[in-house]
Amino acid sequence: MTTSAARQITGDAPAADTLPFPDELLEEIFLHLDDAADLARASAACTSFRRVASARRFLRRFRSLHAPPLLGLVDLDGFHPAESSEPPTPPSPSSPSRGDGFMGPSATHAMASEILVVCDPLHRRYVQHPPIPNDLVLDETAATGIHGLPGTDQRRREITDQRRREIATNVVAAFVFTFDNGEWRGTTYHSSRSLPHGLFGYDAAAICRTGEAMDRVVRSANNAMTTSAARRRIAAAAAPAADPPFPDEILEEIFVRLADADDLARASAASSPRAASSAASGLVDPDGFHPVEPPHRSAPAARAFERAADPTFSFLPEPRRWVVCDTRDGLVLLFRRRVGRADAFDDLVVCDPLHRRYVQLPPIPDDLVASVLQPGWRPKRQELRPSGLRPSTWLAAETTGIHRLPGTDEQRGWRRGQRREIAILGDLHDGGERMLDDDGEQNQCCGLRLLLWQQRMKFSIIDLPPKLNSGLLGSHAIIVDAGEGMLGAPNWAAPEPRFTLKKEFEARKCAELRWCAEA
Amino acid sequence: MEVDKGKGEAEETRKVAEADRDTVTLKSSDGKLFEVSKEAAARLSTVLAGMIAGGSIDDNGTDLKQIGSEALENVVDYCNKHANSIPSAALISSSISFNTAPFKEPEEWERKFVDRLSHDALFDLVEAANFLGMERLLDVTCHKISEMMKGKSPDQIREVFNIKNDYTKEELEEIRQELAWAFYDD
Repeated sequence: MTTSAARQITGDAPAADTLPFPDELLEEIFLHLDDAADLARASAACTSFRRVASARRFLRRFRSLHAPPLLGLVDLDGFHPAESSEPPTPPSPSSPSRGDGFMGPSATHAMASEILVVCDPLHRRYVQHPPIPNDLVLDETAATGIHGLPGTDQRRREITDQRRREIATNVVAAFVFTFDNGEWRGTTYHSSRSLPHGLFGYDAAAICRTGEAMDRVVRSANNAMTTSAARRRIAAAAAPAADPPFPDEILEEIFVRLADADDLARASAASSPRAASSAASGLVDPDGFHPVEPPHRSAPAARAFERAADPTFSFLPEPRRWVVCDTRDGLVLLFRRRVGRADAFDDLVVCDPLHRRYVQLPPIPDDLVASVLQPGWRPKRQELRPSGLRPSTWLAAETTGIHRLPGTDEQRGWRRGQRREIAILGDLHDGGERMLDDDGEQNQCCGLRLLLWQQRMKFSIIDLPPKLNSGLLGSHAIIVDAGEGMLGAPNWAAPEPRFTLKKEFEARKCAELRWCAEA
Repeated sequence: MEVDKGKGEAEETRKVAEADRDTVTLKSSDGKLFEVSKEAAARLSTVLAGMIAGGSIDDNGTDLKQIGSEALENVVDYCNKHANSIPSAALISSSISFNTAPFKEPEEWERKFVDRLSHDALFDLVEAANFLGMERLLDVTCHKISEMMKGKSPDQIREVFNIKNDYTKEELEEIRQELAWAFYDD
């Protein structure tokens, strides 16, 4: 396995020319890398690698072959990466793409009722939970803190006590149903985000915060299929088996599916495209993103992204005064109240948390404001908007009441900032294409955004479909990595029709992304 | 009419002659001769298929000046093994992986075939496959080489491929900052 001796090229050629392959072969080889991070690291090896890997033609091919993985979700609290089961796990080089073995039956609940089912929305199957024993509920609600959980061992008790000492509002009480022993357990977590993998708490209605009404419950699909981390986290609560009260064949089906999501995808691909949607990635709720699928195949990248980025915006002057108001295409818009000027626009900065760069927008000239705003109008909303082909050319602030500031671009100079410095998200990116629709009109209310990692070496943020945002579906939606570059948003909150929104990634032209309703 | 008939006969005799010889002889850059089944060569290599169809196959050894004997031996070896593993063609089509959807996963024997090669032999083989237009072999070898990059740091990649770091310190620092998300283990 010596590398050099026999190679005439490497042996004889001068240093700059030691490439083992011509560019066209390098391209072929790079195309086989299915993780863009591998490509990025390779491009850091030498200039020729970088030249090949950053060539537009190559990136186009690469994108058309490899769909962008879901990295995680962004909300106003920051970035929530797709989670791996073992937080400190280094990337396993040989098998990152095989890692997503978990595909959960999503737990859901019937609204306004305590009948709980665990269902797999993609396959329209469910099992119904037995009701939570009353004494357990009473036990849970007896005090503001959580105590007396049946069967807790010492360790659990310690944890519980500790949590009770911390602020009560952050404590979430949850009732956990474990398939292992077929019993309900009461338990607590710091916040819904720290719910163990497999527990799909996604909605304030489903998770009881301490001190709130406890008549609604959360349940868990924490079951025999869940893997190590969740198991350890909840280990204290899980007792060795009794007979699971579910029809064996359903469990079996779930098990089979979970055993190898790849195989499932393979098998189901033949039958219907929807069936191929297999890997659930997480849940979105007002509290953020709840990854449910450790280890997600892009977990290492997601964590690296999280580390590389600075979600606390510490690079801003007076970082604590800034509040996030919008995100788009990897950029974050933050505002800061101007002291003593209720009628004024807030100070705005646009920053790129990944590269810790920001631009503060100059204030809007008072006379411009006066010429546009009628008395009584208040600045209300600022958002980042696409305006043109390149992400570097959009940036705008708005107020309610005005949709477009009059005047030429020059007059509106304040809207533009110094875009070039902030919008470039990496040298390798191919700035010619955008994936967002030009009209940002329909998405105005919700802070939840999906973060997609485009293989063009830049990070993009995609809005949730308008109906998810508008509250019609509310927060009862999960976003799943539907495989093959598609995101799915199966919905079960709306009674009829039961439809799925899908974000389609067209390989050839990744600018075309649309949510489609499915009957 | 007679002319036509004569031509037809001539073709027939040539066909018979070709049928007699169901192998082609290939000659490496250093003059070594290798025989390979004509059917497999035509099926696996667009270049050889073209040469066979165009009649530019030399019975005494078709010159392939760009390919060394070691690489050519591997090419021939691959062709022979492939010829023996035809029944698994069905298996290929059913084992498409979704994660690497665009490429068919190498089969077990193909994996073994490239695994036993030294880096140099592998690099030579990938070039030979490219030159001969052997799409499948190119896929398999590229896949193997890409696996040698996966999860590696730039330093490790340089080592594997025996390439020099021709970045300046500043350039490298800049790249690392730009691509910080790709450096998991820092």
